[in-house]
Amino acid sequence: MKRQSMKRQSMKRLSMTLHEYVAGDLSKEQRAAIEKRIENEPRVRALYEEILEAHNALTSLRDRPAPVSADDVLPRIQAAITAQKYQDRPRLFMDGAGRRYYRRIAMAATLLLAVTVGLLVARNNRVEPAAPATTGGLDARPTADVRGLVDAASAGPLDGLTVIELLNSFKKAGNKPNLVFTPNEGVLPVSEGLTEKR
Amino acid sequence: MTAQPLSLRLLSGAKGRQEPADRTEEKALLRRAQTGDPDAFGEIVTKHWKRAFWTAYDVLYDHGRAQDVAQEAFVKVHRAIQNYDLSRDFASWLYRIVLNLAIDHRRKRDRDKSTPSDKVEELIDARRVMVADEDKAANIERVETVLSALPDKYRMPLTMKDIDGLSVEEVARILDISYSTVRWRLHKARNLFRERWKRLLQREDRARP
Repeated sequence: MKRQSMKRQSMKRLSMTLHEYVAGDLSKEQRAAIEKRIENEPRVRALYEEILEAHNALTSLRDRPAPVSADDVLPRIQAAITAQKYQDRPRLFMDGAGRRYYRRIAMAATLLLAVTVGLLVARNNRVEPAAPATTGGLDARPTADVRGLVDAASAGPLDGLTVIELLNSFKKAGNKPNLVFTPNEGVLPVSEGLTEKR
Repeated sequence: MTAQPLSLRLLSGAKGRQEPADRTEEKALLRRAQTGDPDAFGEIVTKHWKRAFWTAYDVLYDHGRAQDVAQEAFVKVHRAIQNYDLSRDFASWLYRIVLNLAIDHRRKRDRDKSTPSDKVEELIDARRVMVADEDKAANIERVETVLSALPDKYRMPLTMKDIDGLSVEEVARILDISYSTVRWRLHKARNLFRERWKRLLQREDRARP
């Protein structure tokens, strides 16, 4: 068993050496050694003949012509290169190699955001034009619905809840609340038909 | 085969490897191509087209796709040539590009490797048109039939070394495997090819009237 295994190993090594000899991959000394064996050992010679035949068949493919010649294919390659150049042209947010200009994109996004926010803030802070004054100040005509609230508010300074209720009720009634604000006395109610500024 | 003195035997050498003079010439050509000279690039295509095509074909077994892949490889080369390091071997670099593109194409296509004979059928008419000598054409057909049946990991080093004439070191670099792995796979591939070639010839002999 061991002998058979050794014989197999020896054949494998021989076959590998013969293949490399035929392919021209051996050193000068190795070539001399194998050539001697081929000349003197019929078994080695037979294997060498077989290997050479297969090798020559394989290497006959070196002469195979391509189905399309280089001259025929060159215009197509040039056209593909031109098309590729167009695709690779640098753009606003991308360079020729397809790399994005992240800094430019970030700046553009920030600018867009700033403009949008600016517009929204400006819209929210817009002051409505004042109604034309008849008695020299702000005019207020509370509706009958809110009269009760205004009367209650006129009893004293308005607290937060009352102001909110007042504003909401005006909103429901469709009126814009007209209230006079003074720094010291807080919100003053506006009595019917009259405006007072203190 | 008849017994002949070894000195009279024609042994196919490795013709694919470049001599130093060729290398200098090629470097000059590449330098011109780097400056954008279209004629220089055209010369590069003419020189390497056949190898690029057959490299792609040996992976894809389809003429049309092999042509597309080889064309795409040259477009890539044109794009990258500005930054190409002239000290590197251009043929190996091109080979690597073609091989990678061909493997990508094949992966996308989900190629069925178990029916290589279908792919080889395509060759028959095309080959007869291309090769004037009928016997030579028939022989090429036979060889490709046997080659196409080999597993990829054996076929690729075999075609790169014995047909394209690359060195073992170049094959190892392109396929990204060790030198000893290349030697072992080459040995295995050559044995497989030899056994199948022998069986094919025996079958044809038996079939002959």
